[in-house]
Amino acid sequence: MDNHIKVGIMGGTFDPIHYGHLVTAEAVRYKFNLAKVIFVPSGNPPHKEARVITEKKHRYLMTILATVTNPNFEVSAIELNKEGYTYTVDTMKEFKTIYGENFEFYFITGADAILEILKWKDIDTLLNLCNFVAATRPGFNTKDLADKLEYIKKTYDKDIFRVEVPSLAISSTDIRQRVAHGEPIKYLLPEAVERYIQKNHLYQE
Amino acid sequence: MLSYDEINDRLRSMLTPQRYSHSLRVEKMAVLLAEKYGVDIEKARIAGLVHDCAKNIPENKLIDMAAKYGVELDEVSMAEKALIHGPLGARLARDFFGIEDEEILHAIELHTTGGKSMSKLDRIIYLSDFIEEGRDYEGVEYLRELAFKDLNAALLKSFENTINYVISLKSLLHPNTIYARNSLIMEMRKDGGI
Repeated sequence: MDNHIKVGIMGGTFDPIHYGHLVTAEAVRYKFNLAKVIFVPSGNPPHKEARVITEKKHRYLMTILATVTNPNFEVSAIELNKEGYTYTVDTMKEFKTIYGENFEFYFITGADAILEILKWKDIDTLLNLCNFVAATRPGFNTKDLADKLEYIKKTYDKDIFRVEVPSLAISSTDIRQRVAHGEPIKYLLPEAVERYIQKNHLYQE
Repeated sequence: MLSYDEINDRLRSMLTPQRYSHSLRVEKMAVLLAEKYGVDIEKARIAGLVHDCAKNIPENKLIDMAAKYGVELDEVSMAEKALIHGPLGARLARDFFGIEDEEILHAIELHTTGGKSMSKLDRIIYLSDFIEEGRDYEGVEYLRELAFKDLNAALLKSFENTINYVISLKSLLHPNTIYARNSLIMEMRKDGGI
């Protein structure tokens, strides 16, 4: 097991990416001693249909700009290149094929997404393909989450790791609303992303 | 073209770990400069990542491969075989990674010597190779700062560093580097930059 290279997979819409995501990825990388974290902007997830998601290319480029100064961060367009709905299980299968057996994956996502995980496509296959890390805000310690994790452990014999990340209070929704209302977003996300949003007039309704 | 992940993975298998890490750092520097100077970020990313794909081919194979891929070998490249990895890399980028974009291929081709009338992407890849975060030589920090203030001034400085270095080694200077410097100076004079 020890000759496995551990790699984090940071899934998300990244619309836009912000310091909450980056701090989370770095914290998990450190905690689990991951060789790197690959950010994977989602293509067309079957959920989140309620609002129009920003064009793939913009989200992809913002993610590159945000991660570019960290030598341990990479961005993958694996989901963006797909037509139709994208499912995590298919993405992870593809990563397995590309990277080979020497790599062990840690899928990083928000605790609220973990609550939904049991509804994800082929969940038993998915739990076999990678480890899961649930990032939570301090205090997000609901009984609901604990119960779900316990249930997963019992049913699938699989631990879901948890990491508390203070700055997760920053949210993409809030950033989009701020831009729409002409409020500042400085210090919530990297400057290069802020410039990119201005240049391309994103989120202005 | 292969996907970024496939390119990344295949490249890793073609390069030593050190060379592969260097490639990732050049990719990152190229993205930063592309953003700064309004060049297509994705093209810069791929060109930066792939630029050294031919770098770890053993010297005794370089000539054969160059012949096979139709890379024209001048006197200087015959004597300094390391120079072949630029143009050969551009051919391999097409063949091994399916990269068809001429601007990317051109930047890979010129990344070691430079050349006449370089595009912005060519300049960015050439410079990124020089100033990526892992580089450590006298003056690199100054050059890194300069690259984000004045792309051409930094490019000129890096040509001159190369020329001086090659002279100090009593090695052969590739004419493309001279053409590159001359054409850059002429361009800067025209723009009143020098």
